[in-house]
Amino acid sequence: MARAQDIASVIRQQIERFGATVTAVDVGTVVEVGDGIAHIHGLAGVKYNELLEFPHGVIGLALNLEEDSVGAILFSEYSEIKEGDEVRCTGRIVEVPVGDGLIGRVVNPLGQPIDGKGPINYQKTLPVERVAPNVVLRTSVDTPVQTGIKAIDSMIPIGRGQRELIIGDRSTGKTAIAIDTIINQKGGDLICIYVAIGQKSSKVAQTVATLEDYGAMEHTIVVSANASDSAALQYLAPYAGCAMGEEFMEQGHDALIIYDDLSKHAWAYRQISLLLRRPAGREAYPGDIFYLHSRLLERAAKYDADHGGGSLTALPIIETQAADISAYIPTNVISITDGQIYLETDLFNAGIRPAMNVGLSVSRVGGSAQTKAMKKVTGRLRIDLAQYREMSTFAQFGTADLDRATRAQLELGQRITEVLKQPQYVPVPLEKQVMILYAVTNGYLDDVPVSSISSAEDAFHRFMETNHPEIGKAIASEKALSEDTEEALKKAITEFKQAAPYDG
Amino acid sequence: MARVASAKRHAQAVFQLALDSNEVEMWRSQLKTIAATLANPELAAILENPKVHLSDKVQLVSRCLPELNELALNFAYLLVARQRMSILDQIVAEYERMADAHQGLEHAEVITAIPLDEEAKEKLVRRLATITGKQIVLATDVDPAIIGGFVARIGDKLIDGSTRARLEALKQKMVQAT
Repeated sequence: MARAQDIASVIRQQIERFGATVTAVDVGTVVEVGDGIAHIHGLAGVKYNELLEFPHGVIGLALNLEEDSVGAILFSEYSEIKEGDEVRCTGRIVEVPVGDGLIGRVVNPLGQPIDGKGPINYQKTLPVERVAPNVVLRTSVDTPVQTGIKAIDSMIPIGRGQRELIIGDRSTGKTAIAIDTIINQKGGDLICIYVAIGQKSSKVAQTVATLEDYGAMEHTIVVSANASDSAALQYLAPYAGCAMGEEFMEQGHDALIIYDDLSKHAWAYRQISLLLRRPAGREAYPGDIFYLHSRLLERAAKYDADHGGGSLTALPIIETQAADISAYIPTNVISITDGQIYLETDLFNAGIRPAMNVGLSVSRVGGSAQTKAMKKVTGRLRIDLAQYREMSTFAQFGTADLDRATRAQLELGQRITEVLKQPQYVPVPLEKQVMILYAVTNGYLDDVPVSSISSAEDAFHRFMETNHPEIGKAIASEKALSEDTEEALKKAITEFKQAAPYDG
Repeated sequence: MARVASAKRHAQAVFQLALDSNEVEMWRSQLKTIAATLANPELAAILENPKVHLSDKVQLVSRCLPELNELALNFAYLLVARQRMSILDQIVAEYERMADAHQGLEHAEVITAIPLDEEAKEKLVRRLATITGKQIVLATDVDPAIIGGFVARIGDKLIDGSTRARLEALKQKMVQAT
């Protein structure tokens, strides 16, 4: 009873304090509605990207401003809107709440919670569409994002503030790379934002559950516009997530944003554009489809020290159809980003996971962001692997009559490939990556059979943790492989091989 | 949409003519006469009939509209020749809007829950005039559904001071807070 009293008094207070100010608002009339689009007559004072209020609580966004009509996209169910309905301007350009209150939450592109954990606690909002930071504010990329994936951290390093595309056919492990990267940031200083665009609700729920299981939601925001949401929401989702990330960047923090995936984003925008009767171009995409993605990805940046030194790293994902990377959207996004991680179905099926094609994958800036320790051990890794791939095509018909040097090259390549394999949800910390890569590239694993490499790796990490934890700690703290540490590492590896012989 | 745009262009052209000769009001009445006369369904049927020769149509129009001046008659001929009779109403509406804007007039529609007396209307006109900076031509309507207060619509602007809107806003705020 007491509780009912409380509620009543709260409501009473609200009623007493309620003051609705009467102001003049611009109004228009719906001329045509359908397919998530409304044409409105009037609304003379409307601004571009302004939120519009339709009857029955439906919200729209003004996108086409014409002489005496406005084309708007609708965010929710529009079946109750009729011709002749009144539309009001809200005076608000589309914006989202930003700040720490969002961390750990799942929100829609308007910043409304969809995880059932109550209202979001925020002090500030930012417009969804913002101009990217200019040249004066920026500096070059110099700190790595540790993905915890050996193949990426060693050969295609990603720096903070970089845009690295993850591209590949369906089910080649694109999302897995993104999720592993988020999980690896646990206990670190990188805030992650996962933007799901046009995915199945069940898949998003699964991803959130995985992140929760690994304790990764504590530093993560999920922005989700599912397949059943309107194209308008899907179009808005990456910009909303980006605005949230920019807030952290401007406060001097480091943030990572994953757009999963931008092909569906392009589809949503194509739908909107065609319905708004904008002229169609190649593959029926509108003329500004390049600008759609370039203005989004330009907002990833690294601020210089005078402006807080924050950063926003972007990992856009593109799904190709039948490995066609020369289609319109893939070529666009490849040319915008600072490199790509190219995943292949064949490699995936051959058990090489992550199924990364080392030849086609590059990182155009990340090298300068690699730690010294990593640089030291991976100097020849790419070349060795490239040579191995070239020779392995010749060696398909047997290695018996090959010369020793070639055979050694092949053996090494096989072992490196084996070491770079990695199961999902098991990110490897930097020091472990450095130690195992040091071992394999310097020939310490040459006498271990290829089939036992992965068990040898596990045993090696266990051995180092119990017998020589100081080496790992030294690498982790110095981020470099000093000569003393290197000597100690060499000795430890020899010791390990004597203790647990894997040869033959 | 294209039709609306063309009505606007026609109205603009007529308005320019009217401005040049400083006969805005005269044109207003002439346009209304044309619209009223040509709205006659029998007449419209003949004018839209492709079998009737244009010269016959022109003669018919000139006989139906004897009191028009030459330019206004020409305008009627043009519409007949171009088969734009259907947008005549829109042209008149557009023209009236332009003329009103030129003369600093603004039409306001005010809805109240109970009928307004003359004094209140007077006050309202003065108040709205100060807000918009234009002369107000007031039309009032009574709708008990708004409960109290008033709703004023001036062109594209809406001032909703009704009790219904305030209750609606209160409801929304309470739903949001809980």
